[in-house]
Amino acid sequence: MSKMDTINLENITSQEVLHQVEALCTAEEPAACASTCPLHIDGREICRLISSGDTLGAFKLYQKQAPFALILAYTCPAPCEKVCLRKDFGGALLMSELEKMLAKTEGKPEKAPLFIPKKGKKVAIIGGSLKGLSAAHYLAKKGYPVTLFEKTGTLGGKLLKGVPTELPLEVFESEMKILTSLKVKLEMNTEITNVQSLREDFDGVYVATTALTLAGSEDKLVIDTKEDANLPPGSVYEIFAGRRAGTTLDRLFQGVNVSAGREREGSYETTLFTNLENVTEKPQVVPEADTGYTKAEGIQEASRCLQCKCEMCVDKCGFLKEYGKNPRQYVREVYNNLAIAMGTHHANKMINTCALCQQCEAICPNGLDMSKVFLAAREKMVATGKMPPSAFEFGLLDMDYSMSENHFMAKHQPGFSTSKYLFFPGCQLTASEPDLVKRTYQDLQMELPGGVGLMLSCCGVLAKWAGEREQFARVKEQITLAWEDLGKPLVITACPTCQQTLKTEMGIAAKSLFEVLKEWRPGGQGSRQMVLHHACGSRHDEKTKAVVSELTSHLGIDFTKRPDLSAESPCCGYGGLVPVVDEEVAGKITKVALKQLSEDDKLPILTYCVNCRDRFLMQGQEAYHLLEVFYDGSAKTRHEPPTYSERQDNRRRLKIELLRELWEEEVEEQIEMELIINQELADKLEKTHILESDIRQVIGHAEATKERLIDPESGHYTAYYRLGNVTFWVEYLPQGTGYQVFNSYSHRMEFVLDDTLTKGRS
Amino acid sequence: MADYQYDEEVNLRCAKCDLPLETRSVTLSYMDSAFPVGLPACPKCGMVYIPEELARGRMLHVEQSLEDK
Repeated sequence: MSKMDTINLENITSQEVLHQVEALCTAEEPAACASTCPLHIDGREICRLISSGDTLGAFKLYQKQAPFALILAYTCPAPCEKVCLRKDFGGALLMSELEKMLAKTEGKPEKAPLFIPKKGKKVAIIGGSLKGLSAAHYLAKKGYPVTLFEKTGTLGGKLLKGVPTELPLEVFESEMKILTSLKVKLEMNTEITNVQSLREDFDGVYVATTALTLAGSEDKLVIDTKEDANLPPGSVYEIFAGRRAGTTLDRLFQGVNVSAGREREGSYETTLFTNLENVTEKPQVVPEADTGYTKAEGIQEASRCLQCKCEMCVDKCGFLKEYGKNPRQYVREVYNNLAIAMGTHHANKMINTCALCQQCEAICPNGLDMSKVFLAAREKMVATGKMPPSAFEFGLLDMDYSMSENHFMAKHQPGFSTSKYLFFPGCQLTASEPDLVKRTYQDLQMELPGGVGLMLSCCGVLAKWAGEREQFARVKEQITLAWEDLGKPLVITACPTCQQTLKTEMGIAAKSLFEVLKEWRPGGQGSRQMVLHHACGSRHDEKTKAVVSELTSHLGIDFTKRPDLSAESPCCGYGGLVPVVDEEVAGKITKVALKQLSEDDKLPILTYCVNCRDRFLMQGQEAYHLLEVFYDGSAKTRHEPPTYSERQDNRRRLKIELLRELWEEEVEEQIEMELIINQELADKLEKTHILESDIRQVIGHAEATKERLIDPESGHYTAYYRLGNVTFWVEYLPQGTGYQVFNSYSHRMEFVLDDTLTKGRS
Repeated sequence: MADYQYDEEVNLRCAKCDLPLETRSVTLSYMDSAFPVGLPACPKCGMVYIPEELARGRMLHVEQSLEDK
C-alpha cells in the first residue's frame, strides 16, 4: 500500500488531508546544504547567484542568513560540504572557499537597522565568545537592552587565540562595530561568579561559557550551554548556539511556547529528492593563489552546483509544466479553489486539464499521485454544483452517443445462444478504426471456440474522468446488465483503459485482446525499428505490458533502441478528457510526451491505444496501433485521426454494417441530409465542438419552420436552433440535394425577446 | 435600460416576414443571471439575430465568468 492510498481524498476539502498530500511532495524542501547548515544558509541559491556573476547579491543573501557574516566566511567549517550531492561527481562544492571569496570581493560589515523598537526586558550575557556575541547580536536586534560581561580584555574567545589562524584581526574588529551600533553594553574585564545576583538587575541571563556551572538552578530565565553538548565544534555552531539561546529568551519574555515550531532549528536531514541519473563528473576548481579563489574561479566553482531540486514529475508532464508550479503548489491551489464560497474559481481550468494518467505517481519517489487529487477535486465540484457546465459536456454527450442505440449493442455470436467470450472493442477504436474492429471480431469468432459475443459500448471512463459519479454508475449498470444477460462471458478488451475500468470498477473479468492475438503469431522476422509506447491504462498492468512486448517482437518489430518507459510512460494528451476541456493544453501534453518517446531520430511509435495513436498522428508523428501492424495491410485501415463528427458516424455505421453482414438483420437507415463544408470550416467546427449532426438539426428546423434570416446580397440563410444547453447558428444555402454550409457558431446563453406581444422562440 | 446594445450594421432581413431587422430589447440569461440587451430582431415575428462576434466574444466571456463563479 502506497502512502497515497492511506489518504482519504473524499475529504479533500479538509486541511488535514491537504497537509498529508502536501507532505508527499518534497519540491519545496531545502537542499541538503541548507538543511545541514545550522544557520540554514542557502548554499544552492548562493551558488546560483555567484555562477550568474552576481557575487554582491550572493554576499547579501549570505549576510542576511548569517550574523557576523565576515567572521563566519573566514572560519566556517562548512558542514554543507559533507552532504553536498556533488561529492561523488567530482567533489563537493568548496563552499568554505566560496564564502571566503565572497567576503574578500564583496564583504562589508553589517550595518545596524536605523530604527529598532525598544523592548522592556533587560538581558545579561556572560562570556564574549562567538556564542555570547551571537546571542547579544540577536537579542539587541530584537530591541532588548543587552549587557555583555567578559572576564578578559578581548572579545572572540578562542577565535582570536589562534583558532583559526585565517581570520584577520581587522575583519574581526570591523564586525564588532555592529555591537556598538546595536547599543550592546560591553563590560570588559568583569568576571561574574554569582549568576543569580545578576537577576536582580536583569530579566534574563545567558551564560555563554562553560566556566560557570549552574547546578541546581531552576530559574528558567537563566540559560546555559547545556543544550550545546551535542553540537560539533566550529564557528557556525557557536553562532547558531548563541542565536538559539537568544530565541529561547525572546520567547520566554514574550510568554509564548518555547519549543513550538522549532523542530527544524539547527541541522536536520532534508527529504528533498534529487535525481542524479544524468549528472556527469566535474572536478573541483583549485584556487591558483594561496589567498583563495579569485572571483572568476569562484564563478567557475559555483557553476558546479547541481541546483538540487525535485521536479522530475513536472519535467515529464506537459500539464504540470503548463501552469508553472510544483505538485505541492498545485495541491494547495486545488484546496483553495474548493474552499471558495463566493468569488471566482481561478483554478477550475487547471483542475480540469490534468490527464489523470498517473505518470507522476510512477515517477515520484513518494508516490504522489496528482491524478487522485484532481479527480477528487472534480468529483467534489460536481457534487457541490461548482463544476463549470461546459467543461466536459461535449465529451459526455459523445459518451451518451456511444451508449445510445446508435452504437451500443450486446449480442451473442451469430448462430450461438451462449457466449464463452465477449469482445469489447471500446468506443474509440470503433470511432477511429471501425474496419479493424470488424476484422478482429471476425477472426476472434473463427479462432475461439464456445462463442464470442460482441459488445459495442463505452466503458464509462469518460464520466469517471469528468467527476460524474452518477453518470458513471448509469453506464456501469447498462454494461453490467448486458453482460449478465449474455451469461457473464470472459471479456476480451482491445483498449487497456476499458480493461482496467471493467475489472476494477465493475468487477467484470477481462483480458487483453493482445494476449489472445499473441497466440496466433508465434515468432516473427524482420527488424523494423519502432518505439513501443505503453498506454496509461496499462501503467500498472505488468501482464498486459509483457504480452504486448512479446507480441510486438513476434510481429518483427525491434523496439529495443529506446528504453522501455513502462510505468513511467508519458500521456498522449487524451486522458482525463483534456482535449475536450482545452485542446491547447492537450496539444502541449502530447508534445512533451513525444519528446520522451520519439526524440530526434523520429522513430515511428507503436501503441495499443488508438487515442495515443491519433494524438501522435495529429502532431505529425508517425504512429501505429498494434492492430494495424498485426494485420499489416491485410485489413482496411483509416490511419488518420477522425473528427468528432466522423467518430460518431463511424460508430453508427459499424453497428449497422455488423448487424447486416454478420447477423443478417435488416436495418433501416435514414437518408442523411448532405452537407457541403470546406476544410477551413471543418477545422473550425472541430475546434469549436460543433458536429455536423448539430448543423443538420438547425437546417432541418429552419427548413421546416421557415424561420430564417436572409442576406439579400448573397441569398445565404442564417438560422438557429437550441440543442440541449447550446444554441447553434448556421449560415447556409440549399445546394442540389443538400446544403452548402458557410459558417456555424454557438453559444450557451439563452435569449428571450422582452416584448411579450411578439415573443421570440427560446 | 439595456446593459449592451449591438450597434453594428446588420444587412440581414427576416426571410419569413420579409422585413429588415431592427434593434429590440432582448434578455440574455445564463446560470441564474440575466442581462437586458439590445439586439437585431424582426419587428414582426421577433426572430432574434445574434452575430458571431457577439456569441464568441462578449457572450462567451460572460459565460465563462459565470461558470467560474
